[in-house]
Amino acid sequence: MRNRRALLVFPLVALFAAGCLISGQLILVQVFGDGEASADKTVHRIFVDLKDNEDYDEHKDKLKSLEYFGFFVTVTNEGPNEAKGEMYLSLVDLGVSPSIATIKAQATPIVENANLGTGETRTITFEESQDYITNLKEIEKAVLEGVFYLYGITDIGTAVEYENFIVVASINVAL
Amino acid sequence: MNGRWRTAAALLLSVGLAAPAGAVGLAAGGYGAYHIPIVQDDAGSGALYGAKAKVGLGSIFVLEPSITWITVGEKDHTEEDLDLEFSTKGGSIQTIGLNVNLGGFPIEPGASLYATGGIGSYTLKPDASYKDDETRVGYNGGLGLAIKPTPLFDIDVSGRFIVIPLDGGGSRKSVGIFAGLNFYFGV
Repeated sequence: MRNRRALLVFPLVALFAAGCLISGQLILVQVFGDGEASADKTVHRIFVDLKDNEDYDEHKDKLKSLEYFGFFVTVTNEGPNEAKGEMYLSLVDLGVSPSIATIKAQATPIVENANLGTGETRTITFEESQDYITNLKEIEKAVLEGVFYLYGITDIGTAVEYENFIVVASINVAL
Repeated sequence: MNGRWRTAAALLLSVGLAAPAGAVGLAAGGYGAYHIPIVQDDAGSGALYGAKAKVGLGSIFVLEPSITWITVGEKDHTEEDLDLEFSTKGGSIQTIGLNVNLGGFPIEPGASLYATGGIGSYTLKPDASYKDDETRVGYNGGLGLAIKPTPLFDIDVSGRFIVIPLDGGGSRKSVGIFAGLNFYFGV
């Protein structure tokens, strides 16, 4: 009888020793619309407030870390040349139309090398966005904070139209 | 022989050579089957395979070192309100672990139910260029059945709950279904 009890208890002890059984990975999807462009459309600001998201708000005290981050956005390159789309993250508001030098000096690059053909309009999907993401740890700080600013620019400072920006994030949640 | 199998063979050989003096027998074999993430919105099911040894100690206790490769599948998502579909990519997990089993080492032909619990090194390899591999200590436990039709080998089936605590809190949890053959030496 003692052996049978041990047979049942033994695997459970090992698992509860982990001390983290009530946890999981939660996917958040939040729409942030078109954002705001500078007059010449070379800089685009998107204000991200994840606290608007019901799931984020519900679990805000249990968010531990960021696993994956990505986005959807429809972009139109209105400039005369092919360009590389970039996005910078700032925890503080740098204004609607800071200079590109200010953005590069004060914000963190989180998207690099997104090809934008001349005159091209296309939608970057979540899957495609995975190829451009960088500096996940900086994004994690911002996502756990909940409020941050994204600045879209290109490597050669061309005019770009942004539409329907949607953030997708996978977050570790634990009690 | 590729690197993975060389590693597995070396692991199993080293366990065989280091079998404690009280060991009543040694078995080694391979397994495959399925890995099912639990409460993981960003991970899908996938295949797993690996190799293990079983060192029988007395009539109940069995040491079980193992090496396992797990495929974490893509997971599809649909946001109907937004008319949006996307997939998270998954990746793989490589583990080297040591379990202690109660039972599951039948000396004579027959069947032996066993319970298992263990600890291991779990290397998470996400299929995303912006994420580094992460090696964590993880735990597993479950129940299995070893059926030995002849003295030479057993058919070993088990289900194991796996918990991998993550840096900063939280964990990845899953169930692994294992099925394989183990060949017995010196029994």
